[in-house]
Amino acid sequence: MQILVKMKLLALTGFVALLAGCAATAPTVGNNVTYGSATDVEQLSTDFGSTDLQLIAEKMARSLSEFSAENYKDKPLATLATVKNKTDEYIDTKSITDSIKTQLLKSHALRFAVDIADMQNQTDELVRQNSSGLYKSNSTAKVGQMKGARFRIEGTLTSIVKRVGESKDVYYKFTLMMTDIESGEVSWMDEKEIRKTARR
Amino acid sequence: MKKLLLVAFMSLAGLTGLSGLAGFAGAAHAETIESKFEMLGTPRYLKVSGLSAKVTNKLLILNVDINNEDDRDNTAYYRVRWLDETGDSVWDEEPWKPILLHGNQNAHLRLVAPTPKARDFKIEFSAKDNARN
Repeated sequence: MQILVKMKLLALTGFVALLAGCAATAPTVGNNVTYGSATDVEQLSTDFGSTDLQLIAEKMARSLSEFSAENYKDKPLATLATVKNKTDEYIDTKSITDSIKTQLLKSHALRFAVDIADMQNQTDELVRQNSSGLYKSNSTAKVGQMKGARFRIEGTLTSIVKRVGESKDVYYKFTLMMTDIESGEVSWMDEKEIRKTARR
Repeated sequence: MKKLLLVAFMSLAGLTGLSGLAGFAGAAHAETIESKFEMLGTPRYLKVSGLSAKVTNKLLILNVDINNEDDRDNTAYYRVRWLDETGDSVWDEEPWKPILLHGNQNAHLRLVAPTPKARDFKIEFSAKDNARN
């Protein structure tokens, strides 16, 4: 009888070990880190965060897409300058610029010419292809064929921060403006406001 | 301008009793209003009182009205899945968007599709007051 109980215990232990073994086959290394959803609303602090970036990029891209669809049958060529950060925080505003540009390109609302920040890389590559003597002449990009943008798009992020006692209130305002380069006329402009409050 | 579809009223808390109020005129088959929402839980105080959609300049535009039937502030989160005629997703997963409704406030949302490929949608909705149910 005792032998039978011992055998059952051994079998159970083996089964548990097998289950543990199965769990260990998950395609992970370690379990100290948890992956979350990048689209969840981040509410950890009042600092500028991923949700703020996503809300701004989405609102601006949708608004500009709607304007472009309403007013231009062709997809006008534009340049998008890196967003200016006028808040007291360090914010990588190129990330905001990139998100807006990505969404506008994916929606086929606008086309983008090389912006000022990327112009050096563009001209370096043109010079390399045409002056280094390394490339077949019929395969090189020709100099003097770049297209000039019809519009320039510029954005600014500002904030107002108030602290009273244990409360902190942060107001962000993002403004994006599209200007006709030839006429200097501001063709489109929109803004996104975000308010975040916290108590210590 | 091609106008599509539906204007209707519904209660997110009592969706099941309101099927068949309206449907997509352009869709292959009529769809109920509640079929346009995917609720994460059941909101206790937040009700969707209106939903309309139209196509303007090839872009699908939604108008959603939400009422807070509580006299306290309530927060909800929402996002849209943009679909083509066959139900395939035509855009990346949107970020969840927070919306604060003050006590007894009626809020209006205007949601523009990111691409002309969008011809249908699902609205995912999650109210913070779900937890009190």
